[in-house]
Amino acid sequence: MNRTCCKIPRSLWIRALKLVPVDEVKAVIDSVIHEYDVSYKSIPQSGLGVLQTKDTAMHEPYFLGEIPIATSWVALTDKQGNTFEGAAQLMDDDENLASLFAVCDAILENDLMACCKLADLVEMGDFQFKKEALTRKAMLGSTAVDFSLLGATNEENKEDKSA
Amino acid sequence: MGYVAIKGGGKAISGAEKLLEFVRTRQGQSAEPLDLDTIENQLYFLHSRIMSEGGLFHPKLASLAIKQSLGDTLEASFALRAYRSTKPRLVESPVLDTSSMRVIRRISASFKDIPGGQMLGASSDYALRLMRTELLDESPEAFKAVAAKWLDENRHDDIPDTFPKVLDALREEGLLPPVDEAAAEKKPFDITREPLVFPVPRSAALSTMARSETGSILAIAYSNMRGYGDIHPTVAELRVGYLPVMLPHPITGELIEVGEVLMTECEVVAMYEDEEDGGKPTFSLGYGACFGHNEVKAISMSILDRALQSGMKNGPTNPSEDPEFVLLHIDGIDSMGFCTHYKMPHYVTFQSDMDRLRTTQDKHDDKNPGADNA
Repeated sequence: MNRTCCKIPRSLWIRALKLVPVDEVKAVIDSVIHEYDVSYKSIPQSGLGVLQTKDTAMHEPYFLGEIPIATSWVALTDKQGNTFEGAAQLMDDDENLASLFAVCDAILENDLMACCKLADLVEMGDFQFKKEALTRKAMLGSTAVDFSLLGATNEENKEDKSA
Repeated sequence: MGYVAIKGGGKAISGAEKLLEFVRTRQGQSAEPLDLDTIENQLYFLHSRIMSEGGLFHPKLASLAIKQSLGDTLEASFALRAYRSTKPRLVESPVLDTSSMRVIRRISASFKDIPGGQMLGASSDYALRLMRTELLDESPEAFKAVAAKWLDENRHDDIPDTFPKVLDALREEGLLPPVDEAAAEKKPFDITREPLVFPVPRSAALSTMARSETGSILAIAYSNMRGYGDIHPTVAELRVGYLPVMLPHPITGELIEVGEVLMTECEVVAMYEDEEDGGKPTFSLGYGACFGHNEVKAISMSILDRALQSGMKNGPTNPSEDPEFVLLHIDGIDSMGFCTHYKMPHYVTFQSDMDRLRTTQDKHDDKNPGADNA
């Protein structure tokens, strides 16, 4: 698919959209959804996902715990009979939100109506994420520590010599 | 001994629930109810603890659990754990690599210089434990100004997104055991689906400890630290950060970021062991991790991981090396449930105890006539 509207990779759309006020996303979708017949490729669901990680000492996989997951897979059919699919999985327990994002996924992936408005929202969310990333960097940068071993500083060495 | 159901008391039980709600709200007209964002942010460590002990990373419901339980950590974790038991399992993530964690704190007790540098992050490690009386009467304006000022004064754009692991450098030097490729391919044990029937694999121990109660796991790890064990750990690295959660896109299968979880991770290096097969001696290792920011728990878990590995291999020589002892006594919901059941009516069973005691006393009196008068 030759996507032109959205420059941000598909793998980051959900992350970005989650950081945008949901009413703004809904408003964009509401303005175009009447142009399509929406059907579900699978029943929208909410439930749990189990997180599998590996311990970094022995590299053995284990389950760290669970997370909420909502998932939806939709098909949009336009008035010419063309069908476009979109899907979403997100850390949430609202399957309606997953369906909303699945519609966004279909629109963004296929450059459908309102894709540029949605792309703007994705960029807005991505900006929010990067802003938070900068705050985290500031947490690290402002507390970078350079411990010195006792007796290793010049001053202490001088004291040692004079003693 | 059996348990006998009781009946009645419905009105009083309902009244007790209403009274608890009264206690929650009795601060009166001047008070505001706690909002969930406030709990998540201002009770940050408590919130972390509930998510990790409940075994579910759900920030909003963890806040709600704290609110409805009036801050009782065990009840709050119980509510979160009960919620998860009502939800279907939809997905299992691929193996996520925690080296992709978006770090907010990273320290080492092994080396003062580590690749990427040490960053203390938000910590009270070096603070004096004195009462901050200026917070007694903190105004909303002063409260809001603190974060704004900090953000204005702190900008560091040149920090990398992720950092190498300290253990990787030690492993490259040949000081650590090689990665067990066979273990890396093992399917993990799922403690939410299968009961712990001993012996259990290490993955079961790691999962059980990851959702254990902080005080319980600390207590058993502390027994090892004080002398009922000989791990003598050094923290190679302790990090706190956000792990991106990647799941396959339902249509394309491409991994997409569906969210992130705050977690704490700790690796300890422990005493070296001579290899039984005559191989080169290397340090032994322990690993701990949990949801949220909870360093005591991650360190305790890493110590017990090492102790349990030793116990599984050579047989336990102290309680902290015994998998059954450790893993069956660190779950807060299990232990709290057993403890609190003792305050529920045991009228019939206790009546039975009294009957048996009286019979035994009668037999005693028959054998020792006049003993009570002696």
